[in-house]
Amino acid sequence: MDLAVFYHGTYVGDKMTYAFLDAYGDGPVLLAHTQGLDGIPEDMSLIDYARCWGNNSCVKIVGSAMRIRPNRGMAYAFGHMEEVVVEIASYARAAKAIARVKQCKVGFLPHRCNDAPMYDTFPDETQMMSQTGVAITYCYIHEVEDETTRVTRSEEDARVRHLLDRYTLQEPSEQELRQSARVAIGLERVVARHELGAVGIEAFSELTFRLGQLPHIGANRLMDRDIVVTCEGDLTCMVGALHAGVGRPRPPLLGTPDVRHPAQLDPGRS
Amino acid sequence: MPDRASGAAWRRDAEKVKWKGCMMAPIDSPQTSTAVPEADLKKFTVRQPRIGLFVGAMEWYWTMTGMEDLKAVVLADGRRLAALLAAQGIEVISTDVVSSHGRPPRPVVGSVMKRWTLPSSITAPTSATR
Repeated sequence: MDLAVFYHGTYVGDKMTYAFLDAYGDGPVLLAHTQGLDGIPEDMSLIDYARCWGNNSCVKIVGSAMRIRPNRGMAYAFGHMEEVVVEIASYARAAKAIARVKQCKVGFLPHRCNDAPMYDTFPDETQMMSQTGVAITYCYIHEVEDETTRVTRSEEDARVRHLLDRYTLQEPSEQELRQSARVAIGLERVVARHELGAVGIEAFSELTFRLGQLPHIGANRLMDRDIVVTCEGDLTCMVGALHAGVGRPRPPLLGTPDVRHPAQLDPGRS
Repeated sequence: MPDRASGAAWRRDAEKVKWKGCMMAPIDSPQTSTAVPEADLKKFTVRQPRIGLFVGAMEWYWTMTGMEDLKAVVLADGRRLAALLAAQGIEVISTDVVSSHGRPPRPVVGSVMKRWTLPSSITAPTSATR
C-alpha cells in the first residue's frame, strides 16, 4: 500500500484519529474530508448535516497535531469530492514513486564527472540515501572491461546482426560497431550483477579510452529494458528519473554521453 | 561514403562496401552465431498506485444520538469516493466504517483490510448519492 487515506466521513475525534495514526505507523497518511453533499438540498436532514462535519475534525487536527505528534507528517485534502479525488490521486502517485525508489539501487560508473564538473550534480550521497531511501554503489571500468573481454565472437555476431536488422547504419566502421556491441553486452552484465535500477556513466576521461568505444549502444539497450541511464555520473538525475519514470513505459534519459573517443575522430572533420 | 541503405541491405552488400579504406567482413551466418543471453536486469514494475481507504466516523452517533442512518450514509460516501479514485487509476483497498477508538484499525493488511464490499444489510438513503 502506497498511501493510507483516513476519510473523515463525519466528525472524528482526535483520540480516534491518533489511534489510527499510531496503529498505522510511519507510512504516508492523508486525511481527507469531502462534503458528502454536492450542494445544500432543500430537504437537508440532520444526517446530511453530519455528512459535512468531517471538515471540522480534519481541519482542527492540524492544531492538535502540533502538540500531540509534532514530527508526524500528514497530508490533507478538503473540498468537494471530485476535487479531493484528484488531490488524493496525485498524492498516491507521488507516494508510489517514493516507495518504489526506496527499493532501487543506483550506481556510478565509475564516478562523477572529473573533466567538466557540474556541482549541481554533486548532491551529498548520504543525504540522498537518507531522504529517498535509494541505495548507492560504485561500479568500475575494469568490470566492464572484464565482461567485454568475455563476450564471444558468436555473441558479438548476434548483437551486431540484431543492430543491423533494426537500424539503418550510417556510421561508424564495422570494427567500431563490433566493439560497441561487445561493450553493450559487457555493460548490461555489469548492471545486472549490481542489480541497478539506474547507472550514471562518466565516459569522458578513462572509460572510453579503456573500452575503445562510447557506451551509447549499451546505454540505449539498457533504457529499452527500463534501466535509467544518465551521463557524467549524475546522481540527481538518476534518482529524479527513477521518480519520474514510475508508471511510464520508459524511464527518461536525462543526458547522454555524446562524445567520441579522440582516436576515433575523423581528422577531416571539424 | 557509407551505404545509406537499411541494415539488412548493408549487411547483404557488406563485401562491396568500403569506408575509411576498410573492407567489411561478412558477418557469420545465423547458423553459426549464438543469441546473446539477456542479462537478468532488475525489473521495472509498472502498477497502479495503491491506497488504503479508512472511512472514519464515530459510532456513538448511531449508538447514542439516534442518528442510526448515518453509518450507511458515511459508508456510501466512502464507497463513492473509492469509485471516483478507481476511475483515476488508483487501486483502492478499504475497510468497513472505522468508528471506534476502542478498537483501532490494524495496520495495512490482515483481517481488517479487504476489498470494498458494501454489507447487504446496509442500504444507503437516496440523499447519499447526491
